[in-house]
Amino acid sequence: MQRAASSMLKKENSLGWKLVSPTVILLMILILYPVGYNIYISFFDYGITSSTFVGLENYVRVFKDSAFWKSFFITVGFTLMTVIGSILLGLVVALMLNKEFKGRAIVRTIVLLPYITPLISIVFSWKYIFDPSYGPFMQLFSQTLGWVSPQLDLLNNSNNAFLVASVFNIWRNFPFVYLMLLSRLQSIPDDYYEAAEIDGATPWKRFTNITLPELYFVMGAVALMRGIWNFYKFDEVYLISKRAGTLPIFIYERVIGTTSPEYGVAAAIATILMVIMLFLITAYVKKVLKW
Amino acid sequence: MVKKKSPFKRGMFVFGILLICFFILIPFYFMVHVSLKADYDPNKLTFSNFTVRNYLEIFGLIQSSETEFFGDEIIRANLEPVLKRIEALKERTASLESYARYVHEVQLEAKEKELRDIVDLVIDFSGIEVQNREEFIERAIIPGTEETEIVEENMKSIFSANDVKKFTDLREEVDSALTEESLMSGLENAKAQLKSYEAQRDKIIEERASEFPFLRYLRNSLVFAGTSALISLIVAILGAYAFSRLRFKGRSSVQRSVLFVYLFGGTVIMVPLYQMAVKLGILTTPLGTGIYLIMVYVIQTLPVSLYMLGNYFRTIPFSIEEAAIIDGCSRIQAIFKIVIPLSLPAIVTVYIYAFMIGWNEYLFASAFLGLKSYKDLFTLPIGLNAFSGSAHAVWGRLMAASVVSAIPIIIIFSLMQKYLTSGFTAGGVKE
Repeated sequence: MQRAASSMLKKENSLGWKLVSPTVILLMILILYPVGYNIYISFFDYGITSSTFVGLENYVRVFKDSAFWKSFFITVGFTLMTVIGSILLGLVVALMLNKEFKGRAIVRTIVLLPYITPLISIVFSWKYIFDPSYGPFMQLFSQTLGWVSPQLDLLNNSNNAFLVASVFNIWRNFPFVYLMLLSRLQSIPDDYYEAAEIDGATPWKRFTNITLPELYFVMGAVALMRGIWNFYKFDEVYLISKRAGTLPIFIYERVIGTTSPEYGVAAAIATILMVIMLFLITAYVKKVLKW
Repeated sequence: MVKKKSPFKRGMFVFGILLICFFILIPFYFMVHVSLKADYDPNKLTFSNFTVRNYLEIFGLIQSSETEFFGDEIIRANLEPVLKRIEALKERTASLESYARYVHEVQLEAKEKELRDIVDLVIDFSGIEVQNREEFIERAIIPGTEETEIVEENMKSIFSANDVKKFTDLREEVDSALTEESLMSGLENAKAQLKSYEAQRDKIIEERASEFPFLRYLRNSLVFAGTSALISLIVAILGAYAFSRLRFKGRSSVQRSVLFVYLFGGTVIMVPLYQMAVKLGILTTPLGTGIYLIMVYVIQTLPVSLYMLGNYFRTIPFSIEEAAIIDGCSRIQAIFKIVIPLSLPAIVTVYIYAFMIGWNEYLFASAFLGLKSYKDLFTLPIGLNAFSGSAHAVWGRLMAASVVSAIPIIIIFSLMQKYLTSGFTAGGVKE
């Protein structure tokens, strides 16, 4: 009997490994090896034909490069703005759509549109809106209202392009926050609110004492997740403006968008990015997933 | 419990809802609006009346010439100056004689006139006695003659030393311009110039002739996203079954590394993945590039597929499978006969997610396809973005393409909203 059980376990063990082996092989070849290779490249002056070991020189160069620091702070600003913006907007929308009203089903579908529409379908519309010469934004605020200077170029100026990218990112990603918060809101028992109302709590008190503590955990999780994702967000930023200047674009411009690619430097920046992300991910895993 | 609400609060609430809807829908409005207008005229900055021509255009049903789009005037304005220059340069570079004639007539005429004027001035001021004024001036502007020395002597008393030097320099230049050596080098330069203008002309004509290959981009995107999502789904069904049902050594560490990838971005592994492809020579053929791109998409979509399917499999009671196994089914058979049919909604959901990740992907497609310029393999994101950056960026067609690529996704989503939204919240979606 015991032998039968142990052979069953053995069978299960081997079957399990057989079933996950495609996953593991793909992970090894296309994730683990590249991550290691990336660190390796970052210690070399990596040309197209030859490469020489330069130790930490790439890192020194990166840290001395003021363009890197500018890009770094733009990235941090972009991440902070988008995380805070999408959480605030998502929270407000979730609270509003948690109330019953006529036509709520339609509004709930509309709210999801930004998140599910393919990026490439909607990004040109945003570019059109902010286009410096014939975009409706400039038409309204510059020509009709005269609030901004007609020389203002929101898309192609490297000092403010990341602002438009942030607005777009908030617009696109707040439905994700909204969904996560709404599903949590729906699971708060009505009894809590009824009891509080009987005790005479004002709506604001009910919000701060019941709703917020219930949402606290999921909000933290969403903030970390969005922070991690937005920190290395490439396509949403790059397609809005090539000059938004966040770190992923900084790397991209050094490898793909140039005739003399600096693989070593790009790899060093990618490694730095990875280390920062590791901290965020570890925080996520420890605080949110609690392994 | 009956709740009474003041009309003011109600109004504010409705206003808030409308404001949010406005904020969400405004880009969609412009997308549809511009797609229904004929292309903008860069000179007028206005649109003409509503038309569906942009849609017919991107599906290749009609092919209007660029003249119809931009109007004859603009085409001519763009092309004519280039053609004129080419014509002039061709005439000039036909032979050494014709070039010498050009140099003499066009370049030297003005300078010689300037020299003559100066000499004329000098004669007037210093009162040199001249018998034949014309002849004297002609000889005076050639260096080394008697007349030249006389003029130079007199000049020094009238002009500053600097001006005199300018005069002699100019004279030297005019004199040396017609030597064979300088003519030859000038001719070479003019020929190079001609070539660059011809290239410019060809570029304008070629860009005009190439229609907007929207259908090809669409097909490529469907193939890349569809294939990679399918492979990812198959791998994920097997893996997720193992994670949720089987106990094996190292399960949790594999699971953890999968979750790790789930939070990892493409930016970090772009450089090494590109270098690996270059070292292995994958990017030299279109087929290899396509397969490599699909595999990269698979690894991007795999974590979320595994995660969502694993969560779903755990909700299927094991007793159903157990009964089948007791009836003589093997484990593998049980997966195909019981688990897969029971989790069909989740499988479809996962496929759609994986498909959308591939459909939206820009970074790797641009790194692998754009660099070697496999234009035939371009996916929608890089194809449209490249088109929007070209000299003939045409908003109407671009927006029509946007609408067409968005509608299928929005319809699928509306039909499956229930499954898809629960998928979002089951653990979030990798981006």
